[in-house]
Amino acid sequence: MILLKYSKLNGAEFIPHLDTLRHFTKTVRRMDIPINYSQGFNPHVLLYLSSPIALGLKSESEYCLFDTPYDGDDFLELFNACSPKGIRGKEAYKVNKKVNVAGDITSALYEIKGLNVFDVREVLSNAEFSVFDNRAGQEKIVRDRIKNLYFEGDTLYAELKFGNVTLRPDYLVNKLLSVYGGDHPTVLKKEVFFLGGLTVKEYLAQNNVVKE
Amino acid sequence: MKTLDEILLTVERPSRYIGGECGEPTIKKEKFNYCICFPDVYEVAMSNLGIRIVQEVINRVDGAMADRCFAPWPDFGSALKENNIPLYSLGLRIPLKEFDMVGFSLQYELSYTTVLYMLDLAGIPLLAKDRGENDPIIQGGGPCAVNPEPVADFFDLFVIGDGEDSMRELAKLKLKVSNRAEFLQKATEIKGVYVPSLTYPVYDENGKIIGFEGKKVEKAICLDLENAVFPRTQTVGNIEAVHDRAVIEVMRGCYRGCRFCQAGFIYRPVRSKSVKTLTEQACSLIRSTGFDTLSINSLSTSDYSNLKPLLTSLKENLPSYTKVSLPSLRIDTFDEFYAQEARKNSLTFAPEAGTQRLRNVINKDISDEDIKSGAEKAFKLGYSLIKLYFMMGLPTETEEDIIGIRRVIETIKSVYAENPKRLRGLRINVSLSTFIPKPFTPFQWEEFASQSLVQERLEQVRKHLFAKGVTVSWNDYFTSELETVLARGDRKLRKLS
Repeated sequence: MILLKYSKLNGAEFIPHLDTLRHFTKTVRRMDIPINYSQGFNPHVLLYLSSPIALGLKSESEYCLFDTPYDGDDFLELFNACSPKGIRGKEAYKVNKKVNVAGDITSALYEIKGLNVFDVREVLSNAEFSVFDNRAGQEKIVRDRIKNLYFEGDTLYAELKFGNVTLRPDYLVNKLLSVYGGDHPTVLKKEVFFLGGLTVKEYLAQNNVVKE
Repeated sequence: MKTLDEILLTVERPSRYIGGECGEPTIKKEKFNYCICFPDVYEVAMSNLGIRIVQEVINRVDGAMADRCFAPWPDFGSALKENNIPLYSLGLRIPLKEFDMVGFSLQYELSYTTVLYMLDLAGIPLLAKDRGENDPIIQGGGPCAVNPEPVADFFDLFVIGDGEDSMRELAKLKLKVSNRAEFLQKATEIKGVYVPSLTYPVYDENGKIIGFEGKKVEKAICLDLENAVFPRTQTVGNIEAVHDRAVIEVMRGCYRGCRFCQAGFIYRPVRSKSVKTLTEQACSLIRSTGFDTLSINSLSTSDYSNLKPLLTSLKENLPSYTKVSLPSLRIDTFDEFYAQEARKNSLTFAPEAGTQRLRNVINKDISDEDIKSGAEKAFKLGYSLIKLYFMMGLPTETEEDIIGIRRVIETIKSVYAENPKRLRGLRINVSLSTFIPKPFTPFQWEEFASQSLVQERLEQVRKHLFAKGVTVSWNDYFTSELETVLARGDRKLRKLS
């Protein structure tokens, strides 16, 4: 099996989750590598994607697990040659068992540009901090979903829960924009962390799944 | 003012407007920049083979490039307008008005208004006479271009017939001649090119056309389909297209001469490709796109003489996961061999008329016996949903013909009842459309049914066709009426806009 870290940029952020999955299926066929299929009536390529992100959110850190016996070192190269322009493979890890990319990724780091600089303690010390949830149509208290918040220069970094419990960065940005102001803020998903705040390498090493 | 990215976040299906698909032709700005437009949304446009061929033809000309642009959904269209962003091409994101020539594929009459919508969003003057030296040449093509008169005032030129040769010649000419008037004048020398400002109708005192002034235009025909330009690969849509599959064209034209069918007449003569070429094209498409379905297209695929060898050859050469789909199968040639691959849910037959008499009138050469045997074969294979297409308002039609539709349904039902393999109840979907007399068919001067006649027919339909397991649907009268007007009208229609 191969665990691929990829980015969704340059327009690909507007490709919805299910269509992304369709693209991966086609990319695999174009790569012409062996891949395992589900054994049902309508067999489909066995791929596992990390949890969906909001449409339009740029990301440098998405994961996909390919259930393939292929273990050539040129996987990344091959993938990038066959993938749509906006979906770029960044790192590929050979693993020897299934990694739960949907369930084991628990937080994500976002880079937010274009917000006015403010004192993050105002947010972090406010146990009642809430954002407007567009889908629920109401304010929600989300302080416990913010793991970290800090400025580097005028760029805001936010580490938010991701996966089963999620805080959408666009909701946070809308709130911060309305309170502190800013100019056309942009969000980029920079990195994700696995269970226990581990990076992918630490996580793979700890779970003993790296194929030698 | 919002930026394009911010607009994209607020509209439905933003991936329609971003381009960058896998397999899109690699292009850069050249001396001659052409943009092919399809006046419908992304999902429909991406399923069209014609525009892909035109794009390929232009891109193969030295010093020329072809980009593409599709109609935006109204939400994105109005956002573009509000924020003063001109409509742009998908490949290089260049505003439409900066191209040297902008082509529109006219596949159906009802898309004419979308052409105007796109021109408006692009900031290009709608009328040809208002466009100047700095505006692009607006070109039309496709099946509707056979009668371009209703929209003649909006276009600078039309390419009538097959575009393979005429589009290439146009590109070469534009590379040499940049002056607008001179270009249009010289373009008339290319076969298939119609310049409405140089060839125009002459009316008598009653407003009836008595002839045309100017050069007579002849339809362009690409006789050598075998060696005609065909793209090696196909762009895979960002989101699922209506026909999300690889497409090969086995034949152009149709051997049948159904008198109502425009495609059957305007694509004459019938030309086909060899099994070898088709297999090569199919393999190249499937391997480069990753599609798992290949569609074998033509007006009547089962009339292709080498269909069996082709299917065998495809099976041998294509990856094992590939499914082959055969649209446009005819009831009289329906054969178990072809249906093996297809998913067994529904089967479509188009008898078009209920009685043999009327089928003879319209020259649809299938008999009750064909319907019966076609249904028998289909049921043996496990189909339980049959779709039937009929027309209302055909010349010489009477109530007897509506009763005939009932008889066709009864025949199919009785065949199903005799079939021992039936697992579930038979469902029959009957679609009734209003006959539209199309230009360049033998029925072009026939009458379009009046609303009262259609009402009467629908009453008869209610009386005779409503039965258990039968769903009947028909299309809106006004839409058909509009289509008739736009199909048969002349230049005077422009004043209606």
